[in-house]
Amino acid sequence: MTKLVHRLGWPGTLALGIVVLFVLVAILAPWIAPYPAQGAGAPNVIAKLRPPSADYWLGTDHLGRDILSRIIYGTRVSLTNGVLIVAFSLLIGLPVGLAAGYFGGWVDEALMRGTDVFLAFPALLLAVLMAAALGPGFLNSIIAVAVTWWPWYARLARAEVLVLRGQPYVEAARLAGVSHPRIILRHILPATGRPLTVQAALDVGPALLTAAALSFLGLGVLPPTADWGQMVDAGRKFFPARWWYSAMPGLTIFIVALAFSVLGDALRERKGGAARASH
Amino acid sequence: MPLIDIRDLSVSIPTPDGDVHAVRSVSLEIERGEIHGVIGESGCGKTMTGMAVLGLVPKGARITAERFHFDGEDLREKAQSLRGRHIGLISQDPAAALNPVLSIARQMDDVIRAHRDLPRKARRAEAASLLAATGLPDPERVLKSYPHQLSGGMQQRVVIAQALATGADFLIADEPTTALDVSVGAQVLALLRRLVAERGLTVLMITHDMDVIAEACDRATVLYAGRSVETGPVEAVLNRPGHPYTRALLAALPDAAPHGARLAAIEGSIPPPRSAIAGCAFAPRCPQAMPVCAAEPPPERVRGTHRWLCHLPEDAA
Amino acid sequence: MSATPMLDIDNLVIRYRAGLFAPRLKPAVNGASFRLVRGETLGIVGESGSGKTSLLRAVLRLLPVESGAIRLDGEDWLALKGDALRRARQKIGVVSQNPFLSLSPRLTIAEIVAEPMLAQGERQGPAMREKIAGLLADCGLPADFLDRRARELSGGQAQRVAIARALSLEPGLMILDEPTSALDVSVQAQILNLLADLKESRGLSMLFVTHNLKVVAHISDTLLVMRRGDVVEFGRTEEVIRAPAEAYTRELLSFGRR
Repeated sequence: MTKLVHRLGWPGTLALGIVVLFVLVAILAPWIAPYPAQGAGAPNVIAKLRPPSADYWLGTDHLGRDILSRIIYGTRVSLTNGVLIVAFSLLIGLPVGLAAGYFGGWVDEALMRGTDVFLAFPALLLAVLMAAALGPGFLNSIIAVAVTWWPWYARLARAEVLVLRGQPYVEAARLAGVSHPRIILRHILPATGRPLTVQAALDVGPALLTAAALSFLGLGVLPPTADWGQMVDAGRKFFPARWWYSAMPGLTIFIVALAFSVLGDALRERKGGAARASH
Repeated sequence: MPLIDIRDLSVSIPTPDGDVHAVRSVSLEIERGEIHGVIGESGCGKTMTGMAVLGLVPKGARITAERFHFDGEDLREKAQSLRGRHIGLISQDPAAALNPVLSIARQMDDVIRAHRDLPRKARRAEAASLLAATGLPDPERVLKSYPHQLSGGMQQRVVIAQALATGADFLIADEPTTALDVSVGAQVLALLRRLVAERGLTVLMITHDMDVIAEACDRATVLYAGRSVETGPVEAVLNRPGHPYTRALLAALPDAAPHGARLAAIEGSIPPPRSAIAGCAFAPRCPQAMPVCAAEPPPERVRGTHRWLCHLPEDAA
Repeated sequence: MSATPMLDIDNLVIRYRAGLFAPRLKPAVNGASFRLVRGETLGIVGESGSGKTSLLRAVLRLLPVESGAIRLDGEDWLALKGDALRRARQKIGVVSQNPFLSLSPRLTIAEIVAEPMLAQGERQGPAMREKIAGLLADCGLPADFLDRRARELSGGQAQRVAIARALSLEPGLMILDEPTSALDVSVQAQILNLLADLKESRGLSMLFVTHNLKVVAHISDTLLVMRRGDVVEFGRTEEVIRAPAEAYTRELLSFGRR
């Protein structure tokens, strides 16, 4: 524990704790939610829009469902969203960046100009357009955000590779007759991993935030599945009189996004890896 | 009285794994107007000795010495104020010592202004004359240049001119030719010799290269594992070395052996910087070591102004 | 001594490409011709801008040449492309200046030395490990180095590992790029001795590129001095040292002589 604090610092350790807590909540949702059935979507019309109380710690929504249970179930969707968006983005961006940086020349030109096309649009607008085109739904919203996300990984990977490609040990491997795929797998990829994992950790928060924004716009997960963004949107009609409906999921989004961002910073500090300043 | 008078200097840097003995026991006397070479291999403490004189040891480092004097003043108290006023530094990499985004004129002017109260025109003339003194042709053009427009040799001359501009009469040159081509390095060494002769400068030359010692220095001190093991006139140290380490170092040079013959490499490695050393530090690697060498500190052997520390009797050297 | 030289270079010109409308640059290497006799060491000496590095990189096929020919072991070395070139690279072992930069920080010594063998399709296993231990032993390192990493080694030890790697495919030609310039004098002597031993025991031909004339004058059979892209001196080492044709060579030789 003290070692962890030493390596990540107090804020980093605290953020890690929050992230771990939410992961546990997501896994254990059916067991820890006070009203599992309501969390999964079952209405409970006898207790519509109740304020926070001993029975319903965070109040209830317009269908009488316990908001705490809804938030707990929403953790599953939000975290999966964030992680999958980053994973999909890495899956596309990393190979593109590696190829562009390693081979250079026209390969680099073609791939990076293609990447620039995606970067030319404001990210959220592009995501909204994509989501609208693909239609709402869990997987579609992830793809929509990942499409705007991967170019950043491509650029980051390319920058790392450009430095590595000139390293004498990479040249030594080339002179020993080692093939390109093998050099990439053995020498380039492991060395780009560090800055990219830091960036990925840093990005789960914003990714989850973007996905929540899509849900808020009705382009994300379909009801009755619980989703934080969707809950904020649904509660908007009852605001400010029934403030808890929007505020509780909104506060949750804020805490999780902040925790990921602080954790990412702590990782970057510790590992000294390069990461971009902002989107 | 020598300009630099150091007796039994040690510099230790505390770390979580124990103290690093960067300098264990260095004694150094440098007379005015001489170029004094300090030679040794990596880890011998030569650079840390120079940094201690400049008052630039790492934070937390402990300095002890029986005497640690510059011109009669104690360097432990005065190093900060002497640096840049009486003591200048010429470092290995001139490109790093110059600011890449400022013109040479601006960088020379900054130094001159800090040390002398002169009008702008006079400062400019002074800068040009200092650059000319370092053998740079067309100083006016150099003044208008930026560092990247100059070759490594020219950059090193600018750094030397800057050191002169401070009015320093004692220069510490830390591997001043290592980053330069041999022929350019030879010119820079010739320049230092000329400046010593013309301006009465004194130079402490830190180097790993015996050729630099032979080319430029009047006297030399050999360091091994943080200790000064031999000191004397360069002719004596190079031609009649007293300490077995100096002999081994000279014998390992590629031009010491006939063409194609095996070189006399020194087996083993230097003692770890954290360990304590009881006797002679070189004993484990010394071909002439005796039982007493590992146990007791070696006595000083003297032949005129040539002195070394060794258990072997003087006539064995 | 075989009739075909190990390396035969004829009128090699290397020029860096300037922009489309830029005037043509002075060549980095201006018509170099020389040959390296099998089993001998050729020293190439020059300062920065002499063209020695360009020449070296051209021989390693890392730089295109403008004109001229390179024959390696009688074969047209410049004609090879793609996979054929990759396979043919095993004829050359390379050791570069800074061993810590040329050894991957992530791999063990065993993995580093195995890499060229794996690249040429040899199988991993006890036999290969045995071979690697043998190579390390030939380079004066004990077998317990196998599972260490480069950053745990001293400069001299790391350079021995780099030499072992260069030998792993049993090349006929070793190219040494300033192999001792980052090392202390006493360690330099060890490495030069090792290279002399390996040349003897394995019948290697060596191309030794350096800025340090004294180092290469000791170890080489023939000496080539370059200056500003031109070969200013080429001959048997003893003769070049005894009677240098150029004032420049004399200057380099006299440095540090008292």
